[in-house]
Amino acid sequence: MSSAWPLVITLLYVATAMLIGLRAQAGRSMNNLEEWGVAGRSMGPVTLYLLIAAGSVSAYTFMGAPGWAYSKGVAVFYVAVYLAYLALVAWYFGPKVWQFGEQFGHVTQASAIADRYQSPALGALSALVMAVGSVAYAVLQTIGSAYILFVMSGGQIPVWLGVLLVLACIAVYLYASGQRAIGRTNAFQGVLMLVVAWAVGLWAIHSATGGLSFAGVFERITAENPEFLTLPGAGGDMSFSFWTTSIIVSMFSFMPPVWTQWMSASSARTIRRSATWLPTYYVVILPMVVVGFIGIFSLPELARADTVVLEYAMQHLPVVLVGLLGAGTLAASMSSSEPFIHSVSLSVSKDVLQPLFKLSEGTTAKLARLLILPIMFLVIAPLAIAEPGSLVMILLVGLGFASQVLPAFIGMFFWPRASRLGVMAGILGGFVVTVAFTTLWRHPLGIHAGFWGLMVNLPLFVLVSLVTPATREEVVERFFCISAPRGLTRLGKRVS
Amino acid sequence: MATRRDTAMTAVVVLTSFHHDGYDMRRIFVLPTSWAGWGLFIAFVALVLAGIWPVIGWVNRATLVMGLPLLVVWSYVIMFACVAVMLVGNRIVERDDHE
Repeated sequence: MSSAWPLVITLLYVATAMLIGLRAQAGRSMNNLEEWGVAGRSMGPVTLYLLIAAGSVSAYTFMGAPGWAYSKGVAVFYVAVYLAYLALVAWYFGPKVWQFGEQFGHVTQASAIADRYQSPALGALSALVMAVGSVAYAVLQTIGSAYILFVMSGGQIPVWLGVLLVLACIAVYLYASGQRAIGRTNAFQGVLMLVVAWAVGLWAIHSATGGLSFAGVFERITAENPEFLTLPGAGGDMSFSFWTTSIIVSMFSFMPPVWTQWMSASSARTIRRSATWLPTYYVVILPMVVVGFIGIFSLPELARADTVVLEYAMQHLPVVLVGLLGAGTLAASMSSSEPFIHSVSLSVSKDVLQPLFKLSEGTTAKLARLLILPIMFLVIAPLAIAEPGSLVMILLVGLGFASQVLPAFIGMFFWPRASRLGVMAGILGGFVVTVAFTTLWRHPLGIHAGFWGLMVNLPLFVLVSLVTPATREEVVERFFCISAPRGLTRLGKRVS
Repeated sequence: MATRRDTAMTAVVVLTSFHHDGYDMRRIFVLPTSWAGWGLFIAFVALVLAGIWPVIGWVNRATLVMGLPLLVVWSYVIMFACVAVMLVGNRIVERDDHE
């Protein structure tokens, strides 16, 4: 690519995001966890809508999803379905989580778990298990960011340098403004992604078919490659069981950044209102995926499926639109990686290091801000530069691990008898199975490794909970006043 | 500011058996308490079932609807149905909680 415009537009986006992120601090002291961690629980419905939406629409939407459409077909739409279900999850659980945070002072998911089970060790365990999934996700997004810079610069910015540049940019505003920076930048990135996705999608459709209707693209696919329009897809590997279990595992992965986003809302009602409209944002996926389908007949010899939109744009779209695509894709990856980096740092400081070294709240807050640096440059950067595996598979592995913390939430929202040891046994059992079925024997019988993990995890959790002591009654009652606010009922009669 | 009654789906802890000096928590689960709550719960479950096997198998055909593959249209039907159910849910919750 000879024009400098794509790189200029992409870098202009980076500078704008940085400026917005830095200004989000607005003179507030960030040396306390309430501010740096959950933005003083102040976010309104529109900011929260864009925060959650942009956070969940990642580089996957601009690269991985069109790549799946290109190589497998409609199987990619499992993502749209599970994102809609995550909105249902946010609608039901979000207001309760917000109340836990507001009434009990939690700023992280693991703090809530530690409090519910009166076990700092369990809080630390869940923080670490979730950190594995979160780091995997952040690595995935960073790889996407660096690749975009590589392409937009015509190879002048190598991947290693791109990784460092993107992480350095995020580090600056994340350190300065914490969750407030994430809220503001995600709002900007959310709008940018929506505009760019539809502009690029419609332009690509017009260049491929001469019109603006999706029908032209899919009529050709139906005639020439109908296997792309059904499961198991063109690769024959997206079975009904993998579709179903991927959705279930993804839906029950209560990722820590999402929990933090809920806690950042100004009220419980704010979360419900944002969650209600959240699925409407996911129309952003459609035009990008359609470009993947266009690639099936326009770019049949593509070596790397993930690059289909970029390749098509560079061959058929004006340079300004290519630059905007670069900015939009970078926005997607940055908006998704920064909440994960923030939440790993927050949770490791609050739920692992604070109880371990008996740190004060002030010291923990300062530590949380500083910890983003080693997490970014000693963990995420080397992994991203090594570029392991397929983008989508990394995401699924991350979600598979995260879903193993499910028992902790069952005991928080549905089952008062859940015990500390039951949850620990479930998490550890599920974690071992997920590791085995991700590395040694990948997704046996076409079922997601995380789902296999849950099948071991949940029975273990129930059995061990039943034979070990429950959490103190006053603690359980405190939580279930929020989880079941109508009070206790015995055989249809209220007892408290 | 939300109240303690602020709940997404009207819920209750149902006890189905006793235990010596208190109650047997082994058999306690949070369940909806009103017809509206049960309706919402069923709608949530129906939405989830609509997106997975076996339902997804019934729409797994190489047919175009409004120019899009049936599976794609079905995915977006589920997404907008989620919005509709949550809108109804908001009315129920806000009516019950007097927000």
